[in-house]
Amino acid sequence: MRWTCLAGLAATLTLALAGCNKSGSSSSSANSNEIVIGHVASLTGDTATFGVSADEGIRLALEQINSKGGVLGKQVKVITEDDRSLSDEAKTAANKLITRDHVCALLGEIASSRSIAIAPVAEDAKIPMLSPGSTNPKVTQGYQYVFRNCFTDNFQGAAIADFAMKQLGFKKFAILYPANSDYGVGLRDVFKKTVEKNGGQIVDEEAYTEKSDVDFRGQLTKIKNANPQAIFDSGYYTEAGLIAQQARELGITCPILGGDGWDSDQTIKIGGKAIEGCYFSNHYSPDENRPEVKDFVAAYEKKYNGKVPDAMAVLGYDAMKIMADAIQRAGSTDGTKIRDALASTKNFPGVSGSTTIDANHNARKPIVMVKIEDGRFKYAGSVNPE
Amino acid sequence: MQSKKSDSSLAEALDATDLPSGAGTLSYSNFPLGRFRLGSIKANLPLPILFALLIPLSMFVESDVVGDYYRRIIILAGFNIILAVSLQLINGFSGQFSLGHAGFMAVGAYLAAYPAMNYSQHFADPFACLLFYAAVAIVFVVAGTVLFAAFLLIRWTRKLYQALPMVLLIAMLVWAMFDFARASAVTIGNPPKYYIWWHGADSLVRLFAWVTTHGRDAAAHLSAALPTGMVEPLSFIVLVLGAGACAGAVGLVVGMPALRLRGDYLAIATLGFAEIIKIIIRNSEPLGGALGLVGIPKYTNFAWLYGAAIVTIIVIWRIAYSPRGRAIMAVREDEIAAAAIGIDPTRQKVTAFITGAFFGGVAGAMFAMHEHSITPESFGMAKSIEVVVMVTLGGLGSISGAILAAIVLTILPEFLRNLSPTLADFRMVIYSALLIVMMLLRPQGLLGGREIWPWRRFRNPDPVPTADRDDYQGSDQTKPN
Amino acid sequence: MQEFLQQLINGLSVGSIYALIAVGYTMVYGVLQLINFAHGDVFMVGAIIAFFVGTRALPITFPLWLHVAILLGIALGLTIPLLLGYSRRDVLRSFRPFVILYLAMIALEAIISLFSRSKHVSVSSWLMAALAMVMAVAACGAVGYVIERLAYRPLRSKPRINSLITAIGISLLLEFGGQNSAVFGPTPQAFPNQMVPGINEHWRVLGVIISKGDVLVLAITLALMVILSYIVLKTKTGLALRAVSLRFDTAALMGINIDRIISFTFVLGSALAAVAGVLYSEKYPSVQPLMGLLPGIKAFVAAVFGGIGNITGAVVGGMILGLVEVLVVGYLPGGSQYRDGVAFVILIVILLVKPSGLFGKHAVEKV
Repeated sequence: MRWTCLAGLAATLTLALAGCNKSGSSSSSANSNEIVIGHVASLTGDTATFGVSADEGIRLALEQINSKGGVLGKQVKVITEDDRSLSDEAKTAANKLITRDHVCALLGEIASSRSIAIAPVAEDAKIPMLSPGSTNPKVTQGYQYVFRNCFTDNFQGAAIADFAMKQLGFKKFAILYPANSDYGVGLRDVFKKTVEKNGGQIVDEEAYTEKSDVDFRGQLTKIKNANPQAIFDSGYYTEAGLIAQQARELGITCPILGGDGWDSDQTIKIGGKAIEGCYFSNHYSPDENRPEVKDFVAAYEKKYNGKVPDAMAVLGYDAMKIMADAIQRAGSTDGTKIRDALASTKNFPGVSGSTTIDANHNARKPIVMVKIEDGRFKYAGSVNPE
Repeated sequence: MQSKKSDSSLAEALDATDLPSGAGTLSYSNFPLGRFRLGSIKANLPLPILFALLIPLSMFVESDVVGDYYRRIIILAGFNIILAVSLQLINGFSGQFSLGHAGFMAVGAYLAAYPAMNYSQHFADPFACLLFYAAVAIVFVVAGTVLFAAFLLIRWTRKLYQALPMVLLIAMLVWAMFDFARASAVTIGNPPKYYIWWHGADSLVRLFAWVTTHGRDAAAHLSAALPTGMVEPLSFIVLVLGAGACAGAVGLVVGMPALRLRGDYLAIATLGFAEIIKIIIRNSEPLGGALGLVGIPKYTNFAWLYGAAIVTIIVIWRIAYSPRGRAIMAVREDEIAAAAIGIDPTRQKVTAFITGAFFGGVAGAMFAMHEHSITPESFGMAKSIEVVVMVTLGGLGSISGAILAAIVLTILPEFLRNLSPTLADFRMVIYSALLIVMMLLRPQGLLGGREIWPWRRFRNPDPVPTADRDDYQGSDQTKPN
Repeated sequence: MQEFLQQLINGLSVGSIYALIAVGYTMVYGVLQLINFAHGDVFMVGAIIAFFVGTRALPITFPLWLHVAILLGIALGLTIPLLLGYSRRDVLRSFRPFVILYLAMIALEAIISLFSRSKHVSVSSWLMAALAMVMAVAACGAVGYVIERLAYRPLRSKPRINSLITAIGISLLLEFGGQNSAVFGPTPQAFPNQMVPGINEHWRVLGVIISKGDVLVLAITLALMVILSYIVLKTKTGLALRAVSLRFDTAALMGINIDRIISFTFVLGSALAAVAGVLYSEKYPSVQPLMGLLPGIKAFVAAVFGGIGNITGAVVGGMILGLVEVLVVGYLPGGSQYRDGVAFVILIVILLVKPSGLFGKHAVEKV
């Protein structure tokens, strides 16, 4: 009796393992007439809108690329793996894409913490990785195969501080930052340094735990007591709305500033009236006047039933186009050649601006300041890189 | 005493038995490590065979036949096996339902990653790692002594007045609150001037730094004197064992208060301990804080993991199926009866905790040196629950069950993920539904508390703890009212 | 000083939510000695149902797979025991509640489709709020009943650890089921808390800001506490409840229908969780499937702190927990990072010092 149970169990396990292989071998055999690119995205979880938007942008670009004949004469296929907004899952997803699906390049992730987690995986496997929207400098530092097509926090933090001090005329700031996010901590550091360099003052600094805190009244009461002229929240959109609401409830009337992590329709939905009059920095604004922006917005709305694209969709779209262009220029799907082609990207006409990848594998792009007014994101100014 | 015909079954080999006729304080269970019996050569044969298989197996796994994807699954299964077997000792054999195993894993991982990055010079300096752990041990002993002395002092005041300890504790807490309230006047960055604990912690840190800086050079000289082939493996072993020892020490700290708790309370208390450990790690700058440690040198591979798993299984098997193990199981069944026949319940329970924590730390250390980076979030509630599910699915009190369940539960998510892309959306739903169905249809687990091998011998005496049986009428400490 | 008072008010507001959830926990544990890990997720279900009602985003009909699954389940559940030889009367009797629930679900579907088609009809927001609350309570009661019947009742005679694991499994099922895009999706959505008019307003008392929403939560918590105490102490069902929590089998010998009492307890506890869920979403208007995890555990700590099985204890425990949390955040340098640890430290301290909690009675151990 026990032998049969054991034998049955062993057979099931082997079948299960074999089942893992079936789809794997089929995708590797399809390699010869398809170019396979992987996308690690947070399709579900706390920062789901990032992943979903990026994926939508990538799919739109994919459609356009494939309809024009693909890259190097072959059709392109993008496999998206969901990491549920968790760093560990992101590593697993990246591993699976590289080892089982044999992708020749990796797109992702949006959140800096997760990009930092998957960068060494791509580096070890010599697969070029292009992050559409991670802004923390550590993502590309020291890696040969990791790139990004957006600006870094070194630029973003300084731009927000400059905008606040020069355009809005504030001098006293309070900072509320998520202590368990690479992005939040990095952005806060740069903001703080820039403010102090320009003669401003940080009157209070409070931390919260992103993805887990919903009540910020304790921190906000302390901030209120310190009497700042503006509050800087360097976190993601999941908390931005809640913070704004609770701040207004406690009687804090000064505006709140944010970074590109605020970019999502959830910010307005959750923040409602409380977040009116607040500013944040972003990669693009849908009401910009450039023809590429207009074309992209029209195409996106047509494909996705009238949904207005946010910055992550734009960055995903640009990333896909840049990657396809790099593979075309490299002339092969070899990782090292693609990497070299990516490194030499110059003045690529992206929707989010003309993209040039510099020596640190980062892109130098302008920042758009957005003001939240009447329940919509309104363009409030640009800052160009020096 | 019965003489047992040795027919070279693994059972005989690992059954370090022969109870003397009469128990008492001199029983084997109260010996420090249990009596070690060598047994015949035939009986001990399986051990070298298993280790001989190490080389061909590891060559097979590292080869291209297996592929990166499967290799990763096998290595993950290896970690889960070590975790599940170590938790089996605590949950299954000792009957203490612990939901905090991820905390021990976290301690092992961080206290292996930190010296690996900063002390071992990329595995070239085993004695520096040893120095690190020695310093940690010294600090732990000093701090422990001070705290224990304070605790004894407070308890001594009971002699003066019955409620005095409680009053003192509350007074301390109130003073702490006011002290902290005054701290809000201190500007950011200035260290507070009037906390005893801040000064205490500061002096401990200074002690640690003193020990490490003064020993560094001597350690470097000693390491240079070692033959070059030995240096790397030795560093790795020092790191893993040292991290395991630290985790064992944390197991001691967790296990001591756990003595007074039972059942559900213990579960939540251990969960709480694991969360506290995670929060402490998250707030320690040297350990990377919330962002974790990045850039840990990679050393674990299948061979090391296989060896560690074999060692774990053998050690825990020997503990469980020995007079020591029977003492632990006796304490699980009925503590008072066990105490009545001379078994010290405190000792047995705490030993189980420490041993389980040690191997949890070993798993964590190997995990850290396999992943490029670790964050406190990887060792949260989800991981604890995963390991508990493995142990329970395999059957409480069955080591082979834990191994089997660990393998199944490592493969299952991957299998479901690959079954179909739309099914991937349902993956976790199916996983949890499977769990519920399993608990309803076969609650005693896959193997029902028995071992796979050898099936004639190891009938585990009913693994259901007495207090949980439905025919139990006696005192039940989990019903406070 | 003003800041301190404000922090106190903040603490009480956080604590009253914990108190509300803790009461549900304490009831179930008092009767069944089971840590219902799924309680936090039932709380989440209540919030999500209220979200669907409030945004009038309920589907016109329930998805087909739900109907198929339930019918299949009922069919299998009826035929298999019959084949195995159980008597027809027993099987039919034990399945009666499920059939009733299914019929109720169909009736609900009819009402909802009527309701959803009338999106343009503006309804007074008080009515909407009341409707949301009622639907949440009803749905959570049903969910609690189903969970108890299908998952906990078969394990009643088995060791407690199995119930614990099953509870964890149900909690995971609810969380990941909710994250499935067919149900809710993993992204946090905004809760329409404009339903209760004036909930975002506040009063200024001595320079301290007290929001009306918090006062509402506090009032409801206290009212429920009084009602529950009345039920448990003064009614016959409450008497039966107390008997079952003291000694299972003897209560059965006294003629109490154990199954019914336990189901009643579960339904009541789940209903309380639903109320807590709706009120929580009014305060923190962001709902997502994982929202119940942490509040659930903290509420359990509050229940243990106050004395498990004791309703007043649960409320007091919740308040104190909330207070300590906010004071730690407010006054400990870097305290916001230790916020979640506070609950666990309190738990361990109380379990070591006085395991029966603040209001519990010390159990004498007999040999």
